[in-house]
Amino acid sequence: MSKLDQFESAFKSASKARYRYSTLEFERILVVTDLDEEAGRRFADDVKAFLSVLDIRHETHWTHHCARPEEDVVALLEAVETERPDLICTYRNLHGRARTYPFSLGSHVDVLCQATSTPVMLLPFPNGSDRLDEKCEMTSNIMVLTDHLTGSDRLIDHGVRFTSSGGKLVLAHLEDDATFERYMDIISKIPAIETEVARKRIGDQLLKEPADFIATVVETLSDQVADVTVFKEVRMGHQVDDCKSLVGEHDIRLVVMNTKDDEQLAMHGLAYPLAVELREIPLLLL
Amino acid sequence: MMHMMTVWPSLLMSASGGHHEVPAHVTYLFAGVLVLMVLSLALEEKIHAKKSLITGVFAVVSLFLGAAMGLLPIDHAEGPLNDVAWVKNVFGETLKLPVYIPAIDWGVISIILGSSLFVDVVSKSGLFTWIAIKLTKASRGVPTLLLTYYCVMTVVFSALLNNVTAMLIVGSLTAVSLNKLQKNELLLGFLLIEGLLTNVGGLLTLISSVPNIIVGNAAGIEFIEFFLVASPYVVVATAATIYLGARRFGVRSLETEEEKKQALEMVQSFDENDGIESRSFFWTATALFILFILTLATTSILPVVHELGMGYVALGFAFAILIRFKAEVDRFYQGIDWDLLLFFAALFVVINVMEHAQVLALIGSGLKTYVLSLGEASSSALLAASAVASAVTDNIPLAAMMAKIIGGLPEMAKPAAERPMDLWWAVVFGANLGGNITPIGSASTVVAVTVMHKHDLPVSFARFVKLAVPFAIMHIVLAIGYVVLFLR
Repeated sequence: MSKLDQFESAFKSASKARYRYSTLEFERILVVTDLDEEAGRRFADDVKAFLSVLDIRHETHWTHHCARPEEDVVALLEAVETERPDLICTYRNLHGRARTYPFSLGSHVDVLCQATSTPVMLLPFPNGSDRLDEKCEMTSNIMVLTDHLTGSDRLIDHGVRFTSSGGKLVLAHLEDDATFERYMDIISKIPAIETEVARKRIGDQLLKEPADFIATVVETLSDQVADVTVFKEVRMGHQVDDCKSLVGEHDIRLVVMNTKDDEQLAMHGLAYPLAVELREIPLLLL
Repeated sequence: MMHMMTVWPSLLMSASGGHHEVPAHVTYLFAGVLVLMVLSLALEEKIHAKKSLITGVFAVVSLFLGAAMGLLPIDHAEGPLNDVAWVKNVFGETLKLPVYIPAIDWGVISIILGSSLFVDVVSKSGLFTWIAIKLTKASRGVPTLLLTYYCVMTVVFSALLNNVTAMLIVGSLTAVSLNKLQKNELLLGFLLIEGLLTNVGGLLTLISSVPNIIVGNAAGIEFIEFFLVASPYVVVATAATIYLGARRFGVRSLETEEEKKQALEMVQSFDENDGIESRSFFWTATALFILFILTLATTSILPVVHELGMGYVALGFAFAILIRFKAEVDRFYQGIDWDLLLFFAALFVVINVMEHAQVLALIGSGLKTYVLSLGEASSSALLAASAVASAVTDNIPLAAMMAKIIGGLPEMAKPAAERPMDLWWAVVFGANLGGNITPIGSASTVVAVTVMHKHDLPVSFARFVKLAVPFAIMHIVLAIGYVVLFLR
């Protein structure tokens, strides 16, 4: 019955996921800092300027939560619960003592990202003047990054919403080549599967699906959101290294990623290493 | 039982008037071998053996017994050309062929080999999946329209390709599209109706099914004539099946605008161009496929081609399209259904031995006594008997045997206009439609059941029969009416 499988595969391949655009509104935004009152206010103003694209009509309700040094993560979550924001903006190593060591996000940020369903904007740590880094001036070039772009409508909706008028939206799908090679190594030891055919077909199909999906995104956005230019980056490679190089190539000002994983409490596989490594640019973690 | 015992010797005596005298016990012995082969084919699934092996073993045994008992026309000395064992090549040299080589109907083998190879290569162009997806989109996801389009597609594909390929294409698309439309509860009904319609569609043209090829060749029915006679029945039976199927399995239209909008969005996300790797090959394959059908339809009137036959046409088109894959044609040769081809070859050998052993004459006499003596009702009885026989075993041995038997009837020696053609058509209809009674009745219903099992639909033999029998009875009754009213 191999032919049955062949035809079913052909039809499954022809059945494509289509992007459906939804508009997002951010009516309440909470900025969380651990700076003193004045520095925190300046930082919050910088964030407000950076995210001006969300507040074109000046109707967004901005709140600044200046956490006390002794405040624990429970108090932070209570503040979020009270405020019920649509977006939380903070920075790495909030309340962290190890902020000079670039190996983690800090326990407060870890919990904040996973314990709330609210998107978290993770900004670079305030500079020496307690200001937001000057590179964070506008959200002109946005990159939506995932290892499973097909069907990630919500992720793309956020990317679209944060892209300023006339900006560039890069949709990046990175397949981990190490995982691919591991499977190919196993396939090369199975006589019933022709290794080179499997390598080509699986490799092509892995990249074809997100490419097809991006085509539907371009089609949909050209109808509904006129002033955003979409770029496609679908490749196989080392996820962290390639992501860093894409950020450089496209002069990316904000990366949008998924962090939630239904299968685990910890942050989604690709998100944590990238969140730790990409310290110089803002990340939007969903 | 007593009646049978008194009748069989008289049948044998009349049967022995064929090629040569064969002792009655020898004919009975070979009849036993034939019955054993038919039973083994019926129990193919149970004994886990492929058809080619079963018939191959019986061909080897039959040939050995036939040769040992001096039944086969083996000429041991070089001399004047024997009827089958000797041939002359183009240089005038006399060549001796093994007795089992001329026993095989190479015309039928070449049609099956050529057309299956051709269809296999054409399917690589994405043409059939393109048509299937276009129809899916045209249905707008409305279940009643989807059922109608898929049923029509099943019939047309069965007619132009073969019923197994038709079921593979339509069955797999049905599973994917109903899953997409979140209508999995309709899958069983769709697959069953499609499975049954493959055998109705298999009646449409001379090349739609192997029984058609065998009986059509034996009866001298041309492609166009076959189509013109069969098509009215196929249209009526298809429409009745769709109507009955939609009622039986609760296939309804969509009610609200929201449902219609959602269904439309879902089917529109199919991309008919996804399977097309090369536009130029797609159009070449499309043109060649149309030309293939037209050539087959006009083979009988095309100069030169007429003399070479449909097997030549099928093989010619197969090689023509293989030029596209000239460096990798072996890939397609690997895909040839060798089990089917060897099954035919071995089957023809067995039937040939049975002919020499007077077994076919014996069955022919029995047929004449019990079926053809019914006068006006003979074709109806033959159709019903062929259908019942096809339901429990392979319809190809039945068709091959009946073609020999009916061809040997004295009535068939009359001028063409006076021959009782209804007998040929009764075998064609019965052999095809009998496949609808049980899940093992035809290769395409086996495919339908396989798709059902693949998608966790528990359909036992008994449940299939229970679901299919009302449809099968309707098809057979319609066929009997058609043959009696229009083909006598």
